[in-house]
Amino acid sequence: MDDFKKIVWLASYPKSGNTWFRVFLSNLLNKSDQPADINNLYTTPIASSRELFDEATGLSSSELTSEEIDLLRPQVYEFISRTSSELQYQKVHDAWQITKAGEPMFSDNITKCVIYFIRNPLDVAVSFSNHLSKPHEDIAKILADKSFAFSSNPNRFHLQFRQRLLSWSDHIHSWVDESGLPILVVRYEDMKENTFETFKRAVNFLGLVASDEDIRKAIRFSDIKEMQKQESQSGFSEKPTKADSFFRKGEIGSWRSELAPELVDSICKDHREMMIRFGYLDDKGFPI
Amino acid sequence: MATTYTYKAFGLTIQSEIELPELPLAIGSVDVNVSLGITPNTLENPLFIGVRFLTKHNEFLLKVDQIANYYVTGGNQITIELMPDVDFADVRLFLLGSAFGALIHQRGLLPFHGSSVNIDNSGVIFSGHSGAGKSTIAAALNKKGYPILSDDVSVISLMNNEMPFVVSGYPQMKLWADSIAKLGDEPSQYGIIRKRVEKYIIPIDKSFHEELLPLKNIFIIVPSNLGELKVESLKGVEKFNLLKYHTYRFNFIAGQEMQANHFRYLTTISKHVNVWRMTRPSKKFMFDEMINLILESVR
Repeated sequence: MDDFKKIVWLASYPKSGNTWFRVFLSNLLNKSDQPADINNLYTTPIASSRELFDEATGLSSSELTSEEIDLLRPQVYEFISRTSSELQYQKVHDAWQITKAGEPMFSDNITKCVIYFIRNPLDVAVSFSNHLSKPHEDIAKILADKSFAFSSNPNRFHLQFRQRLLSWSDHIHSWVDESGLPILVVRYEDMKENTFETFKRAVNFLGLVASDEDIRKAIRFSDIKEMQKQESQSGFSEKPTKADSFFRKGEIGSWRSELAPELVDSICKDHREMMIRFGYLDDKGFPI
Repeated sequence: MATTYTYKAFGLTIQSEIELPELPLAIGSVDVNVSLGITPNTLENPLFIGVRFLTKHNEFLLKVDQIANYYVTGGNQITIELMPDVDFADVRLFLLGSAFGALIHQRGLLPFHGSSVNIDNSGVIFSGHSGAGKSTIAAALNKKGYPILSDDVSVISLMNNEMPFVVSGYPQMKLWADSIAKLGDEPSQYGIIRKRVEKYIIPIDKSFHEELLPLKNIFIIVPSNLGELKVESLKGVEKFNLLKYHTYRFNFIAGQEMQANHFRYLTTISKHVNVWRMTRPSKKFMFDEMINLILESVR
């Protein structure tokens, strides 16, 4: 039965280290002496991509409504799992959810495990603002918006499906508490500050065989400077058109100099419980 | 005997029990029958199991929830089982798309995912992922007076002399509102393809090419956020693989006989047709520059 569980979900709210991990994983699995090409990552396309869906269903997703697509997505992942001989690493920004037909969109039947990436929402706000080319105030509202979704304008074509993200706190809750899937939570801050140990823990969780030297090499090849270099030379296909760059600073704590104090307060208030739980606020509610 | 209508599309004469106003009326001996009826619930021992379809040699079953089931056999028969209270526009959309795609595969032709245009009496196909701009660039060329051969799916036929030809589709295009606006037109004058899907139906009244034409060039359009416009000629394995990859409904090809035929098509097209990768800025459509580059490449 477990042979059928071929999908590893690399799940996160946007701007939380997911792409960095995918670059690392590509480097680890490539075993090459050259850094992996960021425009040709080993991991499969994002779970909301149209090509996979159209191939699997025999239908053009551009001729279906978001509701019809959502109902078929669990079956598309079942198809991918059934027809794949190797593990499939799927990046996903959707919150974990139950479809209108009562099925989990990301079901236990086809899921090997989940790595869930989480980052201080104060830094997410700064990074997401650059990503979406929107002011910080708008991003604070998005982080708190319980019905937020990507690609949800029905009047134009979107390269990806509508993705329901929910609020930042609800996104975490959906994957970590509700999904019931085998999950490893990885904090972005630990990826930055305890890089080797954190990546090694993830590699072990995935059950991959890799020496410490393999892991160290893959970490070197996925350094932010390498990704920035590649992006400046040949661009990055996953960068939104409006954003200046995808691989920006990747720093911890840039909110301290960039985010207005009242926005810091409102984000900390909106997400108090989850921020305390994952070590971003102390028990008095002050940012750490 | 039910009333029937006779039409022409994809080089075939089609007799249908449902009205297909998208297609031009025709007379002559019938190649394909479209009828209403009961479709099988499943296919026994299928060669391929998709999410909503099953394939066997010369048998294909597609189920579109709440709309219809389509049972395609022998390359000449499509049986449609309607779901209750269905909108016929929806039934026709999946009939003229996926169901005819399966029928064309069964007839041993190659449906290619792309829109095609007549440039200097040769067929040029524009292909690419969803959203690459296949239909939009074809529509832009059409505005400049180049006749449309087909939108979205272009049927390729190897004639007796083993040369690839593009077969004319039917005189209609489907475009998103923003593409129509970019082309300087007003979307609201057109009808939408389905309720709640804001893609519009553009009938092509004039400047539609109704005969087949030798296929000489295929452009794979790739939007890039680097902002450059360029064209590269593709060769060898990359060329072959892209032709395979952009085959319409690749998973509908069932069994060795169909696979061997598909391989023969790909090798013959690789040999006789120029395949180009056209990278375009994703931010905006540079129509004039793109058209100049296309014309320079094909001439």
